[in-house]
Formats: sequence, C-alpha cells, structure tokens
Amino acid sequence: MRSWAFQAGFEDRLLQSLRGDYRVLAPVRGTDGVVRLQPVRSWAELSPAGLPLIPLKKVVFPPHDVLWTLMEYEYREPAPSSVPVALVGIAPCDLYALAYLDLVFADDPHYQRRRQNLLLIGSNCRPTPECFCPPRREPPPFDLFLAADRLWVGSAWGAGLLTALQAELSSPGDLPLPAEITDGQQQVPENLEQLFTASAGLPLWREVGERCVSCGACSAVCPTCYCYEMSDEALPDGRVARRREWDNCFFRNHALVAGGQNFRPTRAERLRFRFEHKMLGFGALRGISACVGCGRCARACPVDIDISAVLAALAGGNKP
Amino acid sequence: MKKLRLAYVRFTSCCGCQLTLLNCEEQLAAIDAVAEVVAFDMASSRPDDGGPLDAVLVEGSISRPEELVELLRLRRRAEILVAVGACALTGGVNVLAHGDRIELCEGVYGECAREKLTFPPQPLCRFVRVDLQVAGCPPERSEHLQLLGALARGGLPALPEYAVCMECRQRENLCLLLEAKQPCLGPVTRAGCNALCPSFGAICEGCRGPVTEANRAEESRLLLGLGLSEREVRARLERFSGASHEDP
Ligand code: SF4
Ligand code: SF4
Ligand code: SF4
Ligand code: SF4
Ligand code: SF4
Repeated sequence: MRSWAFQAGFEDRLLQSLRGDYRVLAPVRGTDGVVRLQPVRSWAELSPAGLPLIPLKKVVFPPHDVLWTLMEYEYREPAPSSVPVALVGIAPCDLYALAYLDLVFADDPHYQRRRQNLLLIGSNCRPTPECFCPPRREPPPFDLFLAADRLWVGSAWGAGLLTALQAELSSPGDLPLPAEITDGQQQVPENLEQLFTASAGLPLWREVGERCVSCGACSAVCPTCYCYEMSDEALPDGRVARRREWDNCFFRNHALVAGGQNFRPTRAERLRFRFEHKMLGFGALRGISACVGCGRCARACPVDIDISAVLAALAGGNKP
Repeated sequence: MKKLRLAYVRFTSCCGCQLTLLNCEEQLAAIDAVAEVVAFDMASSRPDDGGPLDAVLVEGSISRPEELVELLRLRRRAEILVAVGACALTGGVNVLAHGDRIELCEGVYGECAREKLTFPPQPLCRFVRVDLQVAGCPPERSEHLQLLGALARGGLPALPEYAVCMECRQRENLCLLLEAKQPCLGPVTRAGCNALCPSFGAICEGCRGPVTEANRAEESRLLLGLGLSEREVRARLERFSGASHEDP
C-alpha cells in the first residue's frame, strides 16, 4: 500500500487545510472525562487513548432523525447539509464498524446521503484491557490513515487532499499498514455458531439476564447496533413529523408485534439474541461478525455484563 | 375535521400537570382550533355540560370516595382516558405520607378533617381502564402537545417506554451511577424527559415512574453497593412509584 513519511506538525496543517471545506470532528476528552466526537481545531486536542462514548454512527445515523415533515398538504424532506464532515483520528475498530453499517444501510437513502459526505481519516489506536477485536484479512475503509509519522492513502478523495501538502511528505514508499491494525487483540472461538445453538438451555443466559437492567446503554454505545423505531409526531397546529429513533433489542417493545405477541419476552432471551446477532449476524450477513471488539458495551454496562466474558464462558471458560 | 370534545380534570394533585399545558402559550390557539374544552379547572370556569367526551386527561391520584365516583363517571363519558403525571400513574408524591391518616389530615386541615373521608392515594389504573399513560412530575410540554395533536387525529402518541439511561447515553453524559458512584435511578425510570437531570449533573430521582419491567432487584443491589442503607434504597425507589410495586 502506498504510504508517505511526514514531518512534525503535518497533522495540524492537514486539519487546517480541511477546516475551510469540512466540518472537522474528532474524539476529544471533555473536562468530565467523557470522550466525544466533536469539532476540533488542533491535533493536540485529540484524545489518543479512548474511543468516543458514542461512535461515528451518530453522524451517519443520528439518534433522532426527522425523515420528513408535513404541514397541511405540504410534504418536506429536511434539506441535506452540503458541508462534508471529516472524521479525524478514528480508531481501526470504528472504521471496521462503519464498513458493517455500510452493508446494513446499503439501500438506505438517509444513511447514504450522509455517508457520501463523510471523509474518514483513521489513526492508530491504543488498545485497552477491554479491547478484543478479532484479526482481520482486509484493511478497514479510510481515505487517509495516520500512524506515528507515516500516512496511508485509501481513496482518490484522500489522495486529492494531499496535493496541497506534497512539500511535507517524503517520496512514496510501499509499506503495509501497521500490523496492529489487522492483527487484532483476540481470537474469536471458531465454532461460535454451534456454541450458541448448544447454549440455548444453559443457565448462563438466565443468570446474566437477571442482572441486566435493560438500560440500553450497551446498544446505544455499540458502533454496529443499528436498530431503529419509526414514529409519527403530530402537533395541534397541524404539523406532522416522521422520526426515526434508535431502538434497542433489550427493550421489551422491540420484539412486540400486533396482537401483543412478543418474540423475546424475557430479558435472558433478549440478551442471548443480542449476543448472537453481534457475533453471527443474520440474513445475508450471517457469518459476518458485527462485533468489532471495541469493548464499549462492557465499559458502559452498569452491572458489568461483558460480551467477551460471556463468549469465553460459552467456549468453556469461567462464569462471566 | 370535527372538534375534539375534551376535558382536563384533576383529583388529588398540585395542578402542575395542568399548568404545563397552559404554559404551551404558542400552541394554545391551535389547541382551541381543534378541541372544544368542556372542562379544565385551571383554564376556564365554564361549567361542565356533562355530555360525552372524546377524551379526558386526568391529573392526580384518587384519595376520596367522591373522587372515585367522579372518576368512574368520567370513564363512562369518555372514549379515551389518559392518565397524566406521576400522581395519576403511581400515586406520585402523595403516597409518601406515612402514619395515622386522621392525624396527618388534622395536621393540615385542622378539626374539620374528621368529617372528610379519605383513603391512601391510589393511581387511576386501580379503578378504571387507562388508555394511555403520560409520565412525569410534571410531564414535558412536548408530551402534552404530542398527546393533543394525536388525539385530534383520532390516535394516541407513541411515547417512550424505555429507561432514562438510553436518553442519557445518547446525550453522552458521564454516567453518574457507574462513573460518579451516585444513586441515579436512570436504569429503572421511564424516559421521555431527555435525561433532564443527569444532563445537568444531578441524579435521576425517578419522577417519571418505573419503566416497564424495571429491574428493581438489581437497581437495589447497585444502590446498596454505593453504601446506601436498605431504608434509603427503599425510600428512593418508592418516592415516585408508590410503595406497592412488586419485582417483575
Ligand atoms: S464490543 Fe460491544 S460495543 Fe463494541 S462492537 Fe462488540 S458488541 Fe458492540
Ligand atoms: S448495558 Fe448492561 S444492563 Fe444495560 S442493557 Fe446492556 S447488558 Fe443490560
Ligand atoms: S404529577 Fe407532579 S406535577 Fe403532576 S400533579 Fe402530581 S405532583 Fe403535580
Ligand atoms: S447517569 Fe443515570 S441515567 Fe445516565 S446513564 Fe448513568 S445511570 Fe443512566
Ligand atoms: S431525569 Fe429522572 S428525575 Fe429528572 S426529570 Fe427525568 S425522570 Fe425525572
């Protein structure tokens, strides 16, 4: 893969060159300690350790999205923003997660409209003890990727950004991406599908399900959880808005259907469903793991439910 | 469109819910255009004509025989009965008073309290079918407007039935329970306030009442783990949810 070495200060000049044309967002640690994707001006503001609490899905698939409004007989779709968004300093796992969402929302115009306007500048991460990303065959999607003092280009868009900054780059070399990006932190058990099927009757799910408070935090912070609910809001003055809002398979209503039937009435069933969906996917995506191993769900869970510990328990390890 | 025949009635309560609707100044004219308000204590002295209603909004808990009689009458009159606010949903703060009722009442109303028959405040659902619950103490203005907008179109609004934590996480707050070790009730409290309190750094006190399937056992364990006594934990969990909820 083509890559360049760059000089000190290059990152800031890259940010500067983006600022006129893009809304530049990067993970920044707030005074309260929470890392959020927010506007930045200099590279020093970026939080090198720590993923943003809410991942990039909030940019392409916002938690509350108005799809259209109606006033009397006037139908309106919200005007798409013409300012492209540059996401800077994005860790590999979050890039892989976006690749998964790209598959899920391949035919979704609302997602695609924002996705096409999204410039991705990845950077190397610092794995935490909760990280358990699996090894990868392919590099993640990105336009540019920065690691230490080297830069990789992943698209024509990314290459185009460099023309103004050529003076600060070495002549191109042919170095692979740093191994830590694709090597991963942990192997996923190979026979997961059988393990899941065989686990249906185990007390494990009931035990963990009893602890779960259905707060939804794990799914809200997960970079690949994409379930949503649609609702129409009507106001007395005649305005109507159709909204799409994040939903969650831990909520009782999520699998509730007409007639009051519920496909997964108990917490234990919902827990098992979420883990199975994360690890094995469904439909055409079956076999592609949705879990990128970022560890967010375990960090956000008030009762310490940890998907990697549950997986280990399935594979014959200790109780989670 | 036919005008909606609507009443907003209150029983044992503070009027806070009714006032919240009155505070929606910019939509009052629009409401008047879609609804004929048959009764609304805080807004009008017009006498109730007693006729059939498309919908009745009920604020407050039931704590006197007369209130119960009136509630049953309203249920028969109205197509749709909406319970509004913590008092109507769970008894709300009215339930907090413990001890001898006669003594309590005399403490507030003096001698004449003996002539009034009262009983411990009860939520509406103890006595009548409730078609929709609008949670909060008081509920959000936006929920009142969504309710009236949906009723005007012959439907009911979709209000959240999940926990405050979902909204709190979406707002990217520091988790007060997990990270600040404070006794936040977000996990067992119904959302809809957009995690108002935690977003200002104050714990959720549970004013919107218990979420469907609240995991009170686990929440209790979390609060005990923070060093609260069993009494404190019970008091916190019961403040807005009545004393008689059972663990699911
Ligand atoms: S570790 Fe948890 S939050 Fe991260 S991708 Fe996997 S399931 Fe989602
Ligand atoms: S964060 Fe933990 S408690 Fe909350 S829904 Fe997820 S697993 Fe359950
Ligand atoms: S729910 Fe709260 S605001 Fe509404 S009447 Fe009761 S005490 Fe007042
Ligand atoms: S602060 Fe409270 S409401 Fe917010 S996530 Fe934590 S427990 Fe939930
Ligand atoms: S955060 Fe809790 S206490 Fe505060 S308004 Fe919402 S439900 Fe009520």
